[in-house]
Amino acid sequence: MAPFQSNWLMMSDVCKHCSPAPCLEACPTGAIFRTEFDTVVVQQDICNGCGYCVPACPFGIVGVSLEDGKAHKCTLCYDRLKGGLEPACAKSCPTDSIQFGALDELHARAQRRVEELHTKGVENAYLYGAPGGPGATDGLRQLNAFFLLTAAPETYNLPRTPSRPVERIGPSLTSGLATVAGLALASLILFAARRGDRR
Amino acid sequence: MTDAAPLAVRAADERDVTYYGLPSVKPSLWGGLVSGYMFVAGVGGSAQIIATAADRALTPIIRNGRYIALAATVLGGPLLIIDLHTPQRWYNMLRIFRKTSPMSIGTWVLMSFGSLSAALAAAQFAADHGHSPSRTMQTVIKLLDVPAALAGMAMSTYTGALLSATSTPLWAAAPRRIAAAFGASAMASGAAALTIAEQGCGAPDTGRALDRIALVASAVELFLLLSLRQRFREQGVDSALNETGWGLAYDLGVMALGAGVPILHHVESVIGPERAPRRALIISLAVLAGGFLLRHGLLRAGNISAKRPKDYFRLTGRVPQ
Repeated sequence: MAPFQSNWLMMSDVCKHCSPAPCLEACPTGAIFRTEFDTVVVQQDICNGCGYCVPACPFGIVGVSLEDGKAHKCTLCYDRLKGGLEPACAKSCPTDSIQFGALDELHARAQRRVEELHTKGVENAYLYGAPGGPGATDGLRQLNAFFLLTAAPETYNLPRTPSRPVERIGPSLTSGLATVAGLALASLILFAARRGDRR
Repeated sequence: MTDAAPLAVRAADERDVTYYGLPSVKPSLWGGLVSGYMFVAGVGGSAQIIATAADRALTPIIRNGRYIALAATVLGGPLLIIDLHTPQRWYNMLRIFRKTSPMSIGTWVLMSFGSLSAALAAAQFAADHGHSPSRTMQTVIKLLDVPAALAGMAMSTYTGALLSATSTPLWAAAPRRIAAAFGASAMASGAAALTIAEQGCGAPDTGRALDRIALVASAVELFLLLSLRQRFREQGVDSALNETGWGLAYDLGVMALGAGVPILHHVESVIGPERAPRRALIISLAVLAGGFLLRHGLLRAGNISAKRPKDYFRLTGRVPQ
């Protein structure tokens, strides 16, 4: 079969609105929260621009504006959603490639599309960000914005197995505190031994 | 749910595939203010630990430790506030405690350590200026010593967890070892700061005690630094060190001059008949410089690694089940 779509690969590199969301979990002010639409939004009146969400995001989405000093990212058009409309990207897409809707319905629709592509000979079609697949790994249960891709994730600038940063906190703090506690104990012993020497 | 067959085997020509070499994640915006804070927090936290552990007869160590701990908070807090991009809203950090955020954890560690240090330093100041405290006050002060040391332990190491709970390749690759190395480095720096402070008071007994602690801390630190370098290599994220000056800074500045040479000095000092106070001062400055360079170097190299998609994909390139 000829290369599918002449090997043109398209992807809307939007915020994945992950569940759980590393940016939300990293935010120390509570500015980043999950909306009633299961999307992730930065409240501009609370954010103090600490910038911790920026390196936390496994997809490099969030940024801090040096002009207004706050973190910004895709809101999935929160204002349009509140008005009962679909996000602007989904509305403007001329081929209806970007689809908006209830997540379980979208998962079913996408899975049917993958199977259809497989029967047509596009064997490399797969879902990225659906629960249990690439993109939704190591603590990232699912990406609420997920994708149907036909090449390796790295070709689209996506990590194959991104991880939830929170899972590194436990091991890190344990090792660090154990080391310092061990040296604190050593200090106690060395001070006591010194006292013993003097007597 | 999904057909993982296309990804079951990562073909040879897929290795090191990137999207035109463009970065996949964003680097932090942090620089010298944040690495400066990490260093200062470690020195202050560990100085308090040593002060609490010290023999009650070693009043210079206890006094200097408490003042260094307070100085660290007084210096460290503003460093963080200035680093914010909307600093006038710094107090929003105090809106919540979020256990999934090392920055939130750190905010409250800093608040606790700051309050305890302030109380102990105030008590110390009163005692130093002839106002001997009542029996109740004395008990209160004694009760604060251990919590202050515990908060000091957190101050000395949580910044490692802060770095590792991100998607920056260099930091995410070694969550345990970075925190452990920061902890050992902080204890060595705390002992070094107390040694420098003690030069002013000139109490030889306290110098000897600090030497032994400094030796153990620097030895543990050097071991952990070597282990960390090895881990970076194993995980394939060390190009940010090897291909920039930060690798040399780490090997020469942090390991050799910041830990290796001090170890030699401390061994000679501990087994030898006499202390060399002037050399001890220079060595202590080297330890402090190494401590700062460890944090600053890892911060800057980490930011570089975030812009290298090959490093990130090496870290996130396992075959999913």
